Amino acid sequence: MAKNIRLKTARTQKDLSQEQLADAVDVTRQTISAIERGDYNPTINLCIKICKVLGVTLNDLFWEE
Amino acid sequence: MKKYDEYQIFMKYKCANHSFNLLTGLLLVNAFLGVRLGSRWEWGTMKEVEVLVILLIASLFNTIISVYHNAWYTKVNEKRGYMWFFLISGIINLTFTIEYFISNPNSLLINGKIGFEIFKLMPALLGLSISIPYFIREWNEKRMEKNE
Repeated sequence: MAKNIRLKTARTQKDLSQEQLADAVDVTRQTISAIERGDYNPTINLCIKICKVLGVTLNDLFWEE
Repeated sequence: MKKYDEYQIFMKYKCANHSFNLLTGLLLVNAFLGVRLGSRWEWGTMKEVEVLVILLIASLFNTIISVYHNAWYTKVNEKRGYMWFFLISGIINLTFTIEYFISNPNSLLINGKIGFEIFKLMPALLGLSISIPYFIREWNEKRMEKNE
């Protein structure tokens, strides 16, 4: 699976650490790390939570062209 | 609030599946060699010891990969404190157990076969298998972050 660079970019643009984003969406830091590394495909519920916290759409973060 | 997040639950199932496969494989190999080689393949003083040692190996394997993949503790646990506790207690336990085996050299192996005394190692192995993978993972993550 490819790395999710867009998630990392959106997170750093919001000036959030992995730990802070993880706390905001109620998961562990390792889960965010696994999503960014492309090791884990999150469920749609988690994707929505992440998008809400980062203020972006699902397409912006998870849609692959 | 759930105790584990979705990735932890996914990893728990994955680790349990790998451990179950290992357990089944080891039991099958042991049974196959036992049938094929007969008494030449007996490595435990009793059949029960052999089965329990295989169970111990599979459960330790499950512990190690679960801790490594962050599927052992709940998401709110203060992991670092627990890990140091398990590491120190594991080392102390291991020291005492090795000391015991040195002073009683015939207790571990009886006529070249493993006896029940092997399970004295269990608390030490459990403590170490919970803590060491965590520290290895932490070190590995720091290394990966530096590379990025």
